[in-house]
Amino acid sequence: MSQGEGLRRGVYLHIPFCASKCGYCNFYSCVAARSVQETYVSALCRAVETAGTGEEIATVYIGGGTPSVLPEDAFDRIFCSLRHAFDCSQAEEITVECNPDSADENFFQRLKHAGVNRISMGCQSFVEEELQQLGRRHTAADARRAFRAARNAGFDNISLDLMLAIPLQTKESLTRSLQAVAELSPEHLSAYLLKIEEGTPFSRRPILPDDDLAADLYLLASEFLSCKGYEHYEVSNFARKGFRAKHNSAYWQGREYYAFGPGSYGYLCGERFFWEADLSRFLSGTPRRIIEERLSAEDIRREKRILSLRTSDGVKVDGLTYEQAAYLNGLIPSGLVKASDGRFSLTPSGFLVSNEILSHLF
Amino acid sequence: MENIRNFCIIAHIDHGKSTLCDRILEYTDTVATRDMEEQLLDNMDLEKERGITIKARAVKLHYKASNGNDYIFNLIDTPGHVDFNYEVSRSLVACDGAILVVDASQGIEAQTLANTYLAIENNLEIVPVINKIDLPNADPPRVIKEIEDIIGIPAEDAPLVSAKAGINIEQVLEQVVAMIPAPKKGGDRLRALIFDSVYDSYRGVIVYVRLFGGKVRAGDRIRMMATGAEFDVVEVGYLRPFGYEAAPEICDGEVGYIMASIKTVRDTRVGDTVTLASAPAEEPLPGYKKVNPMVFSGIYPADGSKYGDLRDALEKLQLNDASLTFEAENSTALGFGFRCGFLGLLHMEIVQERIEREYNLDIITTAPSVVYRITKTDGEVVYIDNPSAYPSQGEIQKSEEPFVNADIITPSEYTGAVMDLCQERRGTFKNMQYIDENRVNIHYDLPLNEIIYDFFDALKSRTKGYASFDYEFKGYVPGELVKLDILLNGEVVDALSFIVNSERAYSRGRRIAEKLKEHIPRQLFEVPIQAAVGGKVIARETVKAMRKDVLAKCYGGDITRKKKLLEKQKEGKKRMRQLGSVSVPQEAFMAVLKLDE
Repeated sequence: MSQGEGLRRGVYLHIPFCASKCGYCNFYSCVAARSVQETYVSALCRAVETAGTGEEIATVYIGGGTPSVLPEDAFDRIFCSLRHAFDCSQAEEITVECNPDSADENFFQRLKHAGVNRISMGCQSFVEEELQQLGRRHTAADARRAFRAARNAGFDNISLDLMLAIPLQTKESLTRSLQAVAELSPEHLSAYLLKIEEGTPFSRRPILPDDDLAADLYLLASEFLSCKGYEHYEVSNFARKGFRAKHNSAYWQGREYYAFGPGSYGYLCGERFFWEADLSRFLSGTPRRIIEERLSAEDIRREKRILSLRTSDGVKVDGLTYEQAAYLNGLIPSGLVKASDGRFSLTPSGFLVSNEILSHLF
Repeated sequence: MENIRNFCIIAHIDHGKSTLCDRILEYTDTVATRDMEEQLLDNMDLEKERGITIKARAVKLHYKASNGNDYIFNLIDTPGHVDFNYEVSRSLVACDGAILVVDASQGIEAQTLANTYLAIENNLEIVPVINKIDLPNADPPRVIKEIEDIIGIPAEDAPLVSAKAGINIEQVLEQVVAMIPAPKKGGDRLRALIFDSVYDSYRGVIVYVRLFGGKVRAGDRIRMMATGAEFDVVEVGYLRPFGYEAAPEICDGEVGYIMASIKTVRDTRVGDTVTLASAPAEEPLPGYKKVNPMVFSGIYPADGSKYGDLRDALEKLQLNDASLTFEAENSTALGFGFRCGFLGLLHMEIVQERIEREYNLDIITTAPSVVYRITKTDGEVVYIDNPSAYPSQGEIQKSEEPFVNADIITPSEYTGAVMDLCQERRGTFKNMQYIDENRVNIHYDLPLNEIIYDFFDALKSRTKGYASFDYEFKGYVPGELVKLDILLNGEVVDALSFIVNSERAYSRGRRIAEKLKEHIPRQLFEVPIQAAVGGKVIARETVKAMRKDVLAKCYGGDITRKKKLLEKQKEGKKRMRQLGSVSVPQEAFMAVLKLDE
């Protein structure tokens, strides 16, 4: 029995379409015609219905790509299928990702109506030159407008995405973005250090902040947001009290989730799998499910140790070996680790070098 | 006996010794061309790759000369490198003549000179041969003149050959018959010179000998005159291209082998004389000496649990290599390992390479050290080959280091570069002579300590690979020596300490600190690297603390990838040495051995 079983599962739905591709992105997505998108929604609904068990679901997350590029009725159809296949009545969090350029108040109202209760919006920056460098289609004004539209539509749980250590970014420009965020006052914020993925256009771009500046930017964001009342509860995530991302937290707690759509990852019955990133196979109704790993009880324990330390909850001392505890204890004086209530957790500086630290505990 | 010719071939690396050997084997009865593996005499893989002979080999051949007589040729292959000078000298003593092969385009090189002089000292008749005459830039008249001018032997009749193309090989064989004398008759009592020995896991040590009197047969009880060890002979015979050919006896003037269930090569020292226990010779053959290692270094298993395997490897290597010494030592930084002694730098490299290749062990070696002679304040004289045993400065009355006479032959355009290098290495210029209008032979006295680090590499890189180099031990010279310590995060790393001339301490210390900085990855905390002499810091570098090593996104699809990444990172750590709180990769220990790069 894996640890994730017995707890209510989540559902992830992948929308592999964007209005255009960003230079840093390695998610599976493409720019596609409306008719393709229509066919895709039908295929997705069929997949959901086929898998349906009627079980009670904890969270739903529709990500991408850019879900907000989908045709108007898409969300009604998707949620109809979801409710048909699963018991969503007790779902605490239903999130849809959107981009500021493809979301207006009308759009948010329809989401609200479909039962969505959380919006995750990719703003990335509030500095125009940086947005251009990233190849984003929206402006800072677009982001503000979209945010207010979501609020007006009645969303009281909105998450924004920011990116750190992007081309041209300085402490001063980051502060401007953070101030813009503070003015909008979202419930949740994700701030990701830009990672250069192999094969993306960005991997050929030399002008990026070096590691030292990147680290400074990260700590600046952490400190700024803490002052504004956000809890830095995961390496890249900040939330006001009570607004931690529930669906994402399930990943870090080792809970199970369904996945639908090409390139999406699921975790069911102790098995981590993904759907082959092949749109045409998915559209023709013959997607391939590829098992990535089967987790033993020991794998699950190890994984939990790693993932928990990436959150501010940290790990219980008594779940560690003597060597592991001694290692973490040794990092307290350098300010990378803190200990309280019988738990070790990483500080923001510790999050920054978490790979190095976690490799000792793996 | 009149029909025996015992000879060797002297040549610089790449001048074609091995190819000529192959042709001689073909032109005598012995080996059909198609059966012949290239370069038959060099048996070890390493020898073939490096194109040098590490251990001497010998082979008996039959030749029907143009005068109608049958001759027996004993061709003894000699090691070509200065580290094995003593072995070379014993191989030469086993011969009555030597073929001197000189490349028709390259001319004479430092090694050729040194070995030819050694042959002349041992009264060998020299048969010069000009090889590679088919090369476009061959210049035989120039090379003939060089041989006559520099070595001082007539060379106008030297065969002009191409061993590769098989041109004029018979002329060489005819000159061997005509110019090299037959062995002189020795006494009735057995005196056999050991010029090599090999260990065979089935038959024990097989001794290669040249008889200078008497005879030996199976059943005889023999005695090694220097070591005193005695053995019962199981088999004697001749060394043939494809193996051992047993014979009832081997006699005065002949070259052959003795098998006597000998367990270790240490009982069969090269240069020792074999005699009969029942009727021993009165005097051993002259010239035996016990060779002492000149260069020492620590060898440690990269994986501490392989200590036993490393010991086995060294023991096996020693069966075949009497000049390799080792004893267990313990380093705080590297754990358990061995202090090993070598004849020279090449010998050290060969041993290290053989451990890694033939025994498949990853090893870490510490900086090589020479043997210093220290006179303490109480008058006691000690020889120190390990920095960790170096007495404190207050206990030292006088410190001395070994010096060598070095010959460097280089195209004259690099004279300045070579002299700069020797000067940097604390050399004393002796003199310089022009070999021809393009090449010079430069003589320097150099501290051995300055040669063993990376002198060869530096010389090669500064002369585009054209210079050749040879040296011999000269003696001890007083010098201001200090022990240089390297500290990581405030703690001395014993494996990185070494002894150095005080005037070189600062530059060496700074260079090592820089090299370590390049090779020690950022850690979670700042790591100061210091070089210190007697507690006084003379150089400092800092490895800054790691700031960022994080996976920003860790959602459903990232978790497996994340785990693989951590796994890889963890594997990487296994290849690191934990020195106190600092993780040091193995490459860092290697990097400090090559400071000139």
